[in-house]
Amino acid sequence: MTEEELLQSAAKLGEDAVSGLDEQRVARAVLERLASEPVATPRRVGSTVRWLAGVAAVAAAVLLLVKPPTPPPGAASPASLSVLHELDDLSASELQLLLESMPASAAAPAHPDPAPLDELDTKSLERLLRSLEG
Amino acid sequence: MRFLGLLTLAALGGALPLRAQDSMLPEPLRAERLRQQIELRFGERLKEELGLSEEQAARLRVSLAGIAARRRVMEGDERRLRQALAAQLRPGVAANSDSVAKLVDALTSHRVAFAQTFRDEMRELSGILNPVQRGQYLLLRDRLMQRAQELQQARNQGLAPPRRPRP
Repeated sequence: MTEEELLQSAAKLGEDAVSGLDEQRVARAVLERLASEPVATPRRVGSTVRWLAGVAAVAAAVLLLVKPPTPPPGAASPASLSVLHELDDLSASELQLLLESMPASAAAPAHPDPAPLDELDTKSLERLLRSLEG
Repeated sequence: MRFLGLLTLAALGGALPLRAQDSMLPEPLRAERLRQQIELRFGERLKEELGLSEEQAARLRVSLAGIAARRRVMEGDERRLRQALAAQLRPGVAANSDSVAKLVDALTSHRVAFAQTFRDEMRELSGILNPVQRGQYLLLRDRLMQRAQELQQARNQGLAPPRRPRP
């Protein structure tokens, strides 16, 4: 067999199988199958991510509801501001005495101010000291 | 059983008077709590006696807090100056005249600047309070400051803190 004959024989291989094939029918069958079974997507990964995002959103909502909003640093509320620098050097017992000497409401006005210590004479001071010693 | 024990402890804790609970706190924490109570009470007194609106009271508090912060810084500076002067004048160590002169000048200027804060305070408050309210504020504040000074003096002189009946 010459080379030319060999090539011609090879070119004719499969002609019988192709001649019996209905391309239109095959194409229809492929399309129908595709329509009935959609192409599989990486569904598990996508659904897991969506599920996690949902959980995170719920957690964030719960945190927002449960945790009171914290003010930004440096933004103290007026009620929490310290205005009395003269208290800084007082001890707890002195502060307690100071607090007790402050009237709690307008019903007990602070105007009748008792004399400070330096206005008391020696006898008064001695009496005061004795009364403090019990 | 452990739960019952904890429950009993909690019930006992709740039954203790507030002051007794406070007295069990460490000194700094107790002092801080008392400071807050005094600040709160002073704020209430101001609001009542001066007849302040909520808005006025909030503005006043912010303004006073700014002044108090300034004074705290100045008091810290003065403390450092006094310590430096005391170090210069340690017994048995020759003082450096130049340093002492500078420290004395600085302390004097500092005290003038501190006094100036009282004028600044009144100027600031004139934007919030009317003259009568400023007068009332001045008296209330003076009274508190005087009482604090008495307590400090009693401590320095080794006396028991003077008790004063609630007016």
